[in-house]
Amino acid sequence: MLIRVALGLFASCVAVFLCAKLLLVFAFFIIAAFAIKFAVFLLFGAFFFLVITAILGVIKHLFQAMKNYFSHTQREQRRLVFMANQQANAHRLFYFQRLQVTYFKERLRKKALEKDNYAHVSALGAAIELDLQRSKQLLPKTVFRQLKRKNRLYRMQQNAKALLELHHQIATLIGK
Amino acid sequence: MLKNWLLGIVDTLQSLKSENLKWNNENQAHQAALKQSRVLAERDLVAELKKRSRQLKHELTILQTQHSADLLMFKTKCKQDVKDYKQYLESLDQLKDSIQSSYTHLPEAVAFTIHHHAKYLLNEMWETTEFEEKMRREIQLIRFMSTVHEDARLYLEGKNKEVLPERTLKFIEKS
Repeated sequence: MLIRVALGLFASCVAVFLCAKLLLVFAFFIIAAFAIKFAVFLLFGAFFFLVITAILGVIKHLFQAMKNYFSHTQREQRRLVFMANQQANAHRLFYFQRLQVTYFKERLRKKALEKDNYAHVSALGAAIELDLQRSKQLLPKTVFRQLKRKNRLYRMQQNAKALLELHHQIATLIGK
Repeated sequence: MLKNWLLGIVDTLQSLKSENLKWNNENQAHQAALKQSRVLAERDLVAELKKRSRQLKHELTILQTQHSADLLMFKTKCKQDVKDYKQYLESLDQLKDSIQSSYTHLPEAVAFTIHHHAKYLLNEMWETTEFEEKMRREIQLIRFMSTVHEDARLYLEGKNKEVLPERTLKFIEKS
């Protein structure tokens, strides 16, 4: 309805402008000036109605969108999607919880292994130390000190391979 | 001329309007039926969606229960695994003690090597994911342990006069 009014006002405005032009041609300046003012007023009126129509259209559209959003169907659809997401999340959560449990299990196992390794490497180091003390008289002082230092270092580093090599080296030196 | 033209336009508009009105009048029943069927379809859809979401909710509850039960079982299994591993380590320690107590002059380095190899086999077994491979490695570890015990027993019984547990050392060399 409003757009009809606006269009009518536009048409009237055009008609009044034409009349004003005719009046100007026939030198009725004062009436023509009034007619132009009236035509401008009509033009503004038409624009005003157009703006009002646009605003009302937007409001109507918004209202319709909200009505759709809160409609039964859409609400149920959203609930369904939410449930599906919950299921996917439950699967993901389970996967990560399993991963976490596995990680902690591995940590505990590694800790036990490290503790055991430490005890046995220390025992090997102590045995090497004992061997060194026993053969102190057979070895030159500098070599003895060097071997002792090596033993301490390898024990500190928990280097089992180097300790075994050191043990072999000591056995060879004593054997000489 | 202009008047006729305007009247023609007005006539056309009026005829269009009357045509529209006529069409609406004729199809009123159809339109009402369409509207009704649309409402019914929407209602059916809502009912179907409600049913589906209820079903999903139920499935979710079952899934959560199943997951928590599975997780609990998995935790228990992991705890048992760690416990088993610790027990294995203890038995390997006992293995070392046994060989050391039999061969009283056995160098610590040799005892360490035997123990280290046993531990290597244990870790190999533990870190394998394939069942068959795991079983194969477990058998290998058990064979190694029994070789060590056998060596210790024979030495204690005096049937083996060698200074070192040779069979065990050969086993290590072979693997």
